Amino acid sequence: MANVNIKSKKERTYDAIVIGSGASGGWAAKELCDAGLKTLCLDRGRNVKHIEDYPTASKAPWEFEFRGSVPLEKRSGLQGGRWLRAQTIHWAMAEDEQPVVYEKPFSWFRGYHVGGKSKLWARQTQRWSDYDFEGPARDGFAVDWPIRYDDLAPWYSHVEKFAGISGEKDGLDVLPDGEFLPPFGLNVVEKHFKESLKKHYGDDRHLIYARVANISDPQPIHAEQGRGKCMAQNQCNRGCNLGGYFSSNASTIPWALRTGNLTMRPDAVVESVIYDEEKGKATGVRIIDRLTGESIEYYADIIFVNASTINSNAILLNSTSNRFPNGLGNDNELMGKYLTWHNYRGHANADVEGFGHKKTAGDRPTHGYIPRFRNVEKQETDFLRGYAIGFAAGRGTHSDKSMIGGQLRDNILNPKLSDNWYVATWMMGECVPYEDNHIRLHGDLKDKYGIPQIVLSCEWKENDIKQADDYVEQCTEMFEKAGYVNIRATNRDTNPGSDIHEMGGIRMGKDPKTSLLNKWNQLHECKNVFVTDGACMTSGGSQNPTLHFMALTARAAQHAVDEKKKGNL
Amino acid sequence: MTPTWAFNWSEKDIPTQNGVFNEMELALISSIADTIIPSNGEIGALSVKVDTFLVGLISECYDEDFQSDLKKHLGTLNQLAEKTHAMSFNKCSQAEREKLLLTMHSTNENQEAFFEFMKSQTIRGFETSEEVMVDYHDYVMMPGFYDGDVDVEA
Repeated sequence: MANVNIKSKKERTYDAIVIGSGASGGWAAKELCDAGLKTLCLDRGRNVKHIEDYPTASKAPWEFEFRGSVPLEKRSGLQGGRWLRAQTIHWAMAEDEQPVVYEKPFSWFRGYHVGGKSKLWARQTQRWSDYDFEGPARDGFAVDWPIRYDDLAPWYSHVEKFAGISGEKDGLDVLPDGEFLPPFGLNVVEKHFKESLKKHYGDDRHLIYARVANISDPQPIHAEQGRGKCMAQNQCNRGCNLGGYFSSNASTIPWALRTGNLTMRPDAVVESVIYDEEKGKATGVRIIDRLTGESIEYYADIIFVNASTINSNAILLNSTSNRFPNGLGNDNELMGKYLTWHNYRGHANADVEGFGHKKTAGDRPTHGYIPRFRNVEKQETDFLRGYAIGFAAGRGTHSDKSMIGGQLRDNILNPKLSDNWYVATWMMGECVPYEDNHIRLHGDLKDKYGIPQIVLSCEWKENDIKQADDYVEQCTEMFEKAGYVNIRATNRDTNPGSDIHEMGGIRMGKDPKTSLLNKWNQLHECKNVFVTDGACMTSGGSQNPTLHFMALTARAAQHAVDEKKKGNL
Repeated sequence: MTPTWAFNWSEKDIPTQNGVFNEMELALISSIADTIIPSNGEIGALSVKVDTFLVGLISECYDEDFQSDLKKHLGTLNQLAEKTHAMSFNKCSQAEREKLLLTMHSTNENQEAFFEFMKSQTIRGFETSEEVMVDYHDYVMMPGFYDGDVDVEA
């Protein structure tokens, strides 16, 4: 029997384990496998194979029997209820999968399948600048980031070239340029607004083409991944048979599998990271098989935690030992605190007259973007930090459908271009992380796997509300200066978390007393554990964060490989 | 000789394909769709099978309470037709059917909701049909390009 156990343990031993297969986990797996490490990648959900598991990707609207509505039978037991759509129901989560205790209103979106939220993201890929990295130190919140733009720039490039980013070189110091494929382009009204900003705000405010992880012009590196050109179908969230947008499933996971070094293990709910007191390091990961309920241990010298922000916090908080009674690496008891997200409270739109002679054709996977312009060089408002703005203009069609009968039919068959164009904008503000916005584990309640339930306690702060008020004011002013009419701008009390950009809780920093991770994303107190998903964020910036996580992950993976070679892990 | 039990049935006893609607109700649903978007000889709600869509949608995607409420309104509509024109709703002329539906609409909130549901779902089924999308609305599944500055033909 002893022999069997030894053999079994050997079969469950790898060079590295990656927890989670979303955007950052996929990158960890790819980089570690490229470096020759035998890597186990765990995901708590079902497997999703590129193309073969996108059941709706090539369906036309009329091919859905109920045109997108979901039969009661199919939606029973799934989270989302009547909001579920047939086009994307394959990503829905079971209602009883992971109950959460929400102490305050919060919306937590989860992607529990291989590929995680990389299947569902908005694909916006804007780089940070030092104005973002230096925020906490300058404005006196959180702690100073242990790295700066120059540390990450080559890794942004590394990720961008592989993922395929459509963008335009704008030469702005608030939003550094990257490695870009050609843009799909701005439209005539967006260009009008761009000119208006230039005229009224000089060099302070810019409308640019929002950089997006869709392949506009495939390069050899994309062909090598088996990915092709984005055909602007605008239905990325179903999964894309062309591999037109970046996801783990289309890109990093099959790449890593082709090295022969990756073992993909779906249906593995991670319970905790195993810490060996004698060795003074983590030795593996304990999982519960989602389908059999079996508890299994896997072993490795390098562990990457990429379970998504809130779950990465929960896993490490649940990884207790004599050495770490409060959670792995949590000597300072800051783990789970300073959770942050993005301020999406503000929305504005308006009508644009005078472009009746113009329309658009085709489609595109992105829109316009106004990089942060508040408090960039120095503090100038009564709130901290600022916001970027998503900006889309278009010209719709309409049919008068007020009647029934032959007139209704004829109106539907002959839609008219709307007289005016519309513009719609949305705010993406940087929330300041506060200690009391946190995630912790419940003392008694457990989920169906026997894992402690997560308690989320997050709320908007005065800074967020003032920031959104400013967005409303500024957006209105910018629209007015551009001559737009029928302006509607609101600061809505939506739930925090609706942005799906939760970050922090296991923040990076220079000092082990005030942070959990060092500048290489290693736990200060347990160096062979790397956290490189959103949980590592010291502050949030105003950019969509996934590019940042991917670049940090690739950088940390290289460091892990180097350290392993030196025998330091 | 045909046995007597072979005649001992009424329309109500006929089980329906989906177990939700009887023949009369199915006929009424078709007729309502046909009234809201009648054919112009080339295309209309029935030619693109909006009736099939409606029956499937209501049968599969809505609960029993909703279905029985809807069936009640179908009955009310038909009674209104019988009372006004001494014939079933589906036997009335287009103009009569339109007027009957609009009367339902203005009777009370529940009937208005029924009318709005049937109207909006008929429009939805029509607009998302292959014929309307491709032949009338220039639907292209893979445009593969974007042009943000196209002149509108005068």
